[in-house]
Amino acid sequence: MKTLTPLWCSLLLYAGIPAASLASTVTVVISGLGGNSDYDEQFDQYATTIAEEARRVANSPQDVILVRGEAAKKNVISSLLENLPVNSNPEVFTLYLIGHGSMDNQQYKFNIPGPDITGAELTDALNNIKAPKQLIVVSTSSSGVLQETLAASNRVVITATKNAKERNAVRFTEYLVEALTDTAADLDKNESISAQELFSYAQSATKSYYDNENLLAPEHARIEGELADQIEVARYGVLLEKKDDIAPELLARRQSVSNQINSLKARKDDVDEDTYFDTLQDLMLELADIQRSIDSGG
Amino acid sequence: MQFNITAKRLIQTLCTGLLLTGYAVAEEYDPNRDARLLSCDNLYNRGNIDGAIDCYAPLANDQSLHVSAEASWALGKTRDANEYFRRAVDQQPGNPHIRARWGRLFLSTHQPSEAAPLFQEALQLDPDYLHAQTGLVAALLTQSGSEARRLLAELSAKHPQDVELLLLQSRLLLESRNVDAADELLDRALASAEENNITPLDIYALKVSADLLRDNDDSPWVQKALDYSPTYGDIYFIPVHYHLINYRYRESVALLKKAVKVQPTHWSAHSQLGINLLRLNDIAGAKKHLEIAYSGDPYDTATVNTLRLLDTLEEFKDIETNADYTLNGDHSAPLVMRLHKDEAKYLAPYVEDLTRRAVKTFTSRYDFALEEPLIVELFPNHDDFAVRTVSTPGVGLLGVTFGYLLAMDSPSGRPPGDFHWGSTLWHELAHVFTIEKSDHRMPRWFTEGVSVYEEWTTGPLRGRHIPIDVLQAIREEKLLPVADLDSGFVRPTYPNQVTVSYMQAGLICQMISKRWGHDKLTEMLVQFDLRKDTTQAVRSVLGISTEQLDRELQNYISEELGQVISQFDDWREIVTSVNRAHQSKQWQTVIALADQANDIYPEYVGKGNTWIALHDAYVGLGQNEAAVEALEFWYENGGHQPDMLHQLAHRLRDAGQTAKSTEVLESINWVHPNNIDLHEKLGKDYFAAGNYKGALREFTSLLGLNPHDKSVVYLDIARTYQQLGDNKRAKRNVLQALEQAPFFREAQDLLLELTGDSS
Repeated sequence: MKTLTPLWCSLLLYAGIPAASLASTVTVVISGLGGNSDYDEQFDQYATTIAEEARRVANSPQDVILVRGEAAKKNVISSLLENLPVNSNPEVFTLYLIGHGSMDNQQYKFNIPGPDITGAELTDALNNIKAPKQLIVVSTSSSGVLQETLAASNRVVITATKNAKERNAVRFTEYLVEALTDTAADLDKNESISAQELFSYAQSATKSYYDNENLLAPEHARIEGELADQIEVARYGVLLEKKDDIAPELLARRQSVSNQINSLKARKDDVDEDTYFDTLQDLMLELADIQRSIDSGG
Repeated sequence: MQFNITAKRLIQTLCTGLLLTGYAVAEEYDPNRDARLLSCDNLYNRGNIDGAIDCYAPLANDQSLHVSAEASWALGKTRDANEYFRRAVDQQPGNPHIRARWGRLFLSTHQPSEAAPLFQEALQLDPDYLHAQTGLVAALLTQSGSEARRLLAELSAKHPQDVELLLLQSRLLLESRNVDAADELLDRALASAEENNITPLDIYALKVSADLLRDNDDSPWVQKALDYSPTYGDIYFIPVHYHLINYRYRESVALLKKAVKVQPTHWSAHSQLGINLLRLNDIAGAKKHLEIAYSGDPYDTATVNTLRLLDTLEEFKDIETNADYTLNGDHSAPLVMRLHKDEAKYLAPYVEDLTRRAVKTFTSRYDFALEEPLIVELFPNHDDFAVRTVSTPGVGLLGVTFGYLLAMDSPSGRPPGDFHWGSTLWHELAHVFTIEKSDHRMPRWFTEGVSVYEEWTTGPLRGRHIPIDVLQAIREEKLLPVADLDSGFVRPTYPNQVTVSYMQAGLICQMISKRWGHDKLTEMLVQFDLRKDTTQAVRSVLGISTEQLDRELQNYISEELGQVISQFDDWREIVTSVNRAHQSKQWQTVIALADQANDIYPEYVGKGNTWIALHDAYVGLGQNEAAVEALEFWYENGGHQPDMLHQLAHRLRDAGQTAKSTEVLESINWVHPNNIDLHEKLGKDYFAAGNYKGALREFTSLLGLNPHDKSVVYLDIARTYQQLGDNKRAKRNVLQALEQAPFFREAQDLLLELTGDSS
């Protein structure tokens, strides 16, 4: 088992605008048992890609832990989760569970080699983690049942299904991976993908898949938690490439203008349409100007 | 006001006459009626409604369950009547009369499928019981025409003077516009009624109907009926049926207004008035009369369904625009697209585009300029559409035209690719012109024929599409003489006869156009407007008899379809074998057999066609060029299965035929318009090709489909407006892109460019 050596940095909290550096984040990715070689390979590939994306933006490669294949045994997972609080104290903790889930005796089970790990066991382990922001992504069949048990004020929970009854292997994971590796998920184009954007993209793509195939969708993903816009899961572009070179005052200005835009949008219904768009134009031009300075390394 | 009741399948209140189903019979035909009931009936029939109510009321609690049932029925307490009949039958299980009367109750409340078994039970007890036999015929006439007609003919031969049978025969004759023959029977019915002291009011109403069909709007029988019974609303209500089956909604509304004036409690008339006002787009008037109908008869499903539809219409959006046309100068006709708010944005560009094309095309082809706003309604929920058209959910129609208002299923109302909605819209728009040009006087076969012919000739789908079962019907010589072709639509005698009649009518119009010239179709519309019937119009315009036209059609079919008709069984067998070989991937066999089938009848591109199998076979053998050729032939002849169109577009693009590929992609929109990827691709293709108007339509549709990332679409729209030289709209759209995604660099760049602040 890897030990965790978190790198701490000062945080610039934001609403939609990422700080120059990613908040200290520990990411754990676990792929479960596929049941056949095709699924084994697929889950392994998904988990590996998710971990790679997380490492690209992590402050340290050691902040990302990948557990897959035969290693993903119950005692390994339990021990990993139990020891996290001891070894690290991250701002954000993210867990991805990729694989099959099932219901047995009214109990959710994440299918892994050897005895499965139950929903209750996972919840107990996760409740020990003190990170103020937590994102738990359970991309398995029947995962919706965990929404209630995992719910916590500091936690965002994404599940691939609505409830325990959606038992088919899920397609959601495929689009989850796509969201992390493709900029299309970045709806506000701020070069950072939030948990909310991750979910929205994967949910929408899953729905499109079933619509295009003219099939009744057997899975309906869910997201719960207040912090979904505040947890960053991926970033790209200038923000990633020049993260150490961006002047803090530019980011502060960008933050200020962005706040004004949000405030204007909130008042849209109360403002005359032409006035609204004129004001929006001024703010957008200012933001574009700041953006150009950031891009040019100013 | 929201209308919040649950439609229930319950017995309705007493109707003294029924529309559409039209075969309910009044209680006086009851051969064993209790004398006390008869005296109450007499008060009612003479218009003394209060007196009748006072008379029936005590009988509703009579010792005889059967009398209580009849009195309750007459008082409109049909649920009580139903219960009394149930108990009366328990009490007297061997009495055929009670079962027959119970069946009549169901018949009078629009429930023929409940009525028929009761008549059959009565006939088991007494096989010659005429009241049950007639009831059964009336019930069957609402369902299967041929069996009912056979029974009616048998019974009429045995009982030539029976008033009720004479009325049923007259109704059928009037439906087929055989007015003189109907009149003759009605005269016999009058004599028989007088002789047997039977109330003649229903006969008078059919006399009025006959006069209406002769274009005599001032029938003397109206006054005769009102002299007999001043509150007899049916004298106006019953003839409405004959207007409606001939698309005369304005005239129907006029009659229904008179019906409710003389009989304000005629709930069915209020209901029909509401439904028909809605067909004329008078939503407020419709609501008023439907609410009156509901207040008096809350169990009439047509009323309930239509009131619910009015609630649903509140979720629709009227998009007003214009359709330009040229006829003695350039003009513009108002066009209202009534679309569900969830799909208005993505469908409107297509509905508008096709409607504009249709108005331009049909104005010129039929020499007719629209005189009122054209209203196009698309219903995403098929049952709403069904209620809009016949007030009953569950019909299999795709579209209906009431004149200037047409309604149809929206493509989202059916599974993707299930129907070519562009063709349906084109078909209905052609109806607008034939119906209005002839002042609603053309026969059904003609308006359907022109619409089918226009689908094949000028519509958005290439080719002539004749289903296999229609080819079979032609082979089996099931086509009707043109003079009687309307009956194939109104009273079909075999399951697919309506479809066969559509195709036959289309072939007739196509033949007229080819042999005599397209203008002859327009001239025939003029003749119909002059109140000429089919025989007269054909004689006047084509100079031949309808019998000669029938022979011409036979020749035309031999020329056009002779090969497949003469080898029909072989062809069908080969097609079946192609599909079997296709399933088992025997590619060489598929190719050999498909070639054989296509030598006989290449134009078949419908379900189970050989072209797709042939394409797959060539793909399986790695012969991609031949595969594309097969699919191109299929497409050029009207193949429109969306997944195959996607494949064709893809292959054409790979082969460098970008323009053709784009054309194929666009055709998918007429089958499956709610595909996000398709609009995105088409928009980008059009933009790249400099077709900015096309690009704008696609991007606008795409936005209406609520794509995951709207900012990108707004930017595309902004760029398109920029290319069209409309910088104001370009700026507004780029700001909308940035509103969604403030950090969107490409949108920022365009904003800087548009505001001249790009330094």
